[in-house]
Amino acid sequence: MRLVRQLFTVTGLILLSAGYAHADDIKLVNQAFKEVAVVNAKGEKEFKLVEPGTVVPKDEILYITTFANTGDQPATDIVITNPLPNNSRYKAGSAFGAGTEISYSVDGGKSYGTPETLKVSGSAGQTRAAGPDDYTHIRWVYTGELAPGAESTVTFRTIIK
Amino acid sequence: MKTLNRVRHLAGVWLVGFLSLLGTSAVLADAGDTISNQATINYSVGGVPQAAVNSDDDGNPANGLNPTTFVEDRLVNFVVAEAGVIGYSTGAPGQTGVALQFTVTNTSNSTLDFLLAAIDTDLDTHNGGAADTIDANNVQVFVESGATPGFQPTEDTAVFIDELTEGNAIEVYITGDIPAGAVNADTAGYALVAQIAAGGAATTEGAAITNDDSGNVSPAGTYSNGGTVVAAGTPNTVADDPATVQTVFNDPAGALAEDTDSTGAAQDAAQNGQASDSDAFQVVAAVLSVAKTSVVISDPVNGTTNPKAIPGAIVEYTITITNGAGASTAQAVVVSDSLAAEIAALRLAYETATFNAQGTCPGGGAPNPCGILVTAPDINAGVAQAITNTNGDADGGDFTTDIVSMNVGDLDAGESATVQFRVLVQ
Repeated sequence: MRLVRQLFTVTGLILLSAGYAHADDIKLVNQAFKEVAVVNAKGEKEFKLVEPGTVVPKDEILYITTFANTGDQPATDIVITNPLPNNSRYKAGSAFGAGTEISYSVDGGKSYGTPETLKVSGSAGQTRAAGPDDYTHIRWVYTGELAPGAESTVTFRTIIK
Repeated sequence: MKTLNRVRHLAGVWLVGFLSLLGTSAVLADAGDTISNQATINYSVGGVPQAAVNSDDDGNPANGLNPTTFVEDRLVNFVVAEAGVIGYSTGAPGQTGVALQFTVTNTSNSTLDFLLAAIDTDLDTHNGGAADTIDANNVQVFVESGATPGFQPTEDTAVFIDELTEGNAIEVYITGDIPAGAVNADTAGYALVAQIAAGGAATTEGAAITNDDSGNVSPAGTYSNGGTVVAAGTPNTVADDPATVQTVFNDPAGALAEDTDSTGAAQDAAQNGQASDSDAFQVVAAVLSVAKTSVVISDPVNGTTNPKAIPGAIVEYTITITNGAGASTAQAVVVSDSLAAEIAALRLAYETATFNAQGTCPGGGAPNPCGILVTAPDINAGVAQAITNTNGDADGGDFTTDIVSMNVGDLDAGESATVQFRVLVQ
């Protein structure tokens, strides 16, 4: 419940702040990778992150989103929102971000909740517990303050349909 | 509460399963689709909220804040499997258009054509891959038209699979004629090999795709009942490129040695753009055996007590025809036994009136005596039937030109018929 209230607050603040842009203060870089097994010089199997050049159904894609404070003031109230890519389903339990609270949306980003609280409408007007396939967006609420020059990352994985 | 939750959960699973059944082809993302993603960050500086910032793909905002994208590549995956009758498809000697049935299922993420070849493996997959014994004649491959299930020579005339969409399957037949000289239990083994070809143009046979972008190639082959000859692929290794659609062969290997590739010389390998499964024809012929026995019924001296074959004795012949177990039905079996030589030499004469009292003689005896007693599954419901020996009448039995002839009807596997008649020793 508290989370929901917090979300409303953030939305309100964004509306109020329109027109006071300092976009140069924060840089957000989103990269997609595919994990491939390679054999190293010692003949050992190891995994390597590569650009998603050859991607076919059931492949797993790792998204790494890096946010950096390029301004000279600490940034607070950081919220990163990432819609799930098309042709992809969220890999359950894969979202991660140090110092973040992670929540998910099943309604196109209108509302967010934790996996156990999310519901979607099923047949005949009934609701059922939402699963990872129902997620439309992932949100990371960074609980700390990002100092000037500092950067951090959030990640999640998808499976190609 | 726990139970309730479980029920809800099950209902959800059922619903998801149902939906995915309905939309099999829509579930897979198509090769060539661009998968795009852009994150957004909201933040505050000094307690003042700032405008949201979109993510960039390369960290260089100067060329625009671009979404992170890549193109889904073409994964070639498909299965050939024996279908219909699992086991031998049977045919009688001389039978034409006997069909081995298979399905080809496209589990790729792209619509594809498939070229087809029937490979004579000379191996019997239903006998552990042992050598087969014959070859079928006029072996061809045809694709089910969808009009009538099962092989229909007039309908199923396509020789390649056209535009098979992802997630869907189609029936394919290898047809052949059983040689007239084949004998019961002969077998002829064949493998159906499907080779991927470019889809996209309906009713047009797509060009074979004989290499992927990871160094995998297809062997050479001849398809479409000899109409299309395809050379072996040459390896092509292309660096991964997120911006182009690349092809990846992921087809399975043939499960058995007789599941050959298009050359027929080797077991189908994985990731060669081909898939294969084997099946075999089996010949089921009628296996008729004939036995003839005789017994002396009476003689003029001893009567019926220990009669001897002396002049004036009556001898009964019994001819037994049997079709072997597991054989095909023998139709309109005619038994004939010539006594012309014996009669000409005045050693024997037909005894024509003696079955009148047995098995209801239709003419009631003279002037149409019943000289033949037949016991056959298709005659008089299997009960012994005395019939006239008049030529050309409806009962199918006569003594014309001193040959006993009798049509005993059809004999299924394991059935037998007997024909009995009597002669007088001269």
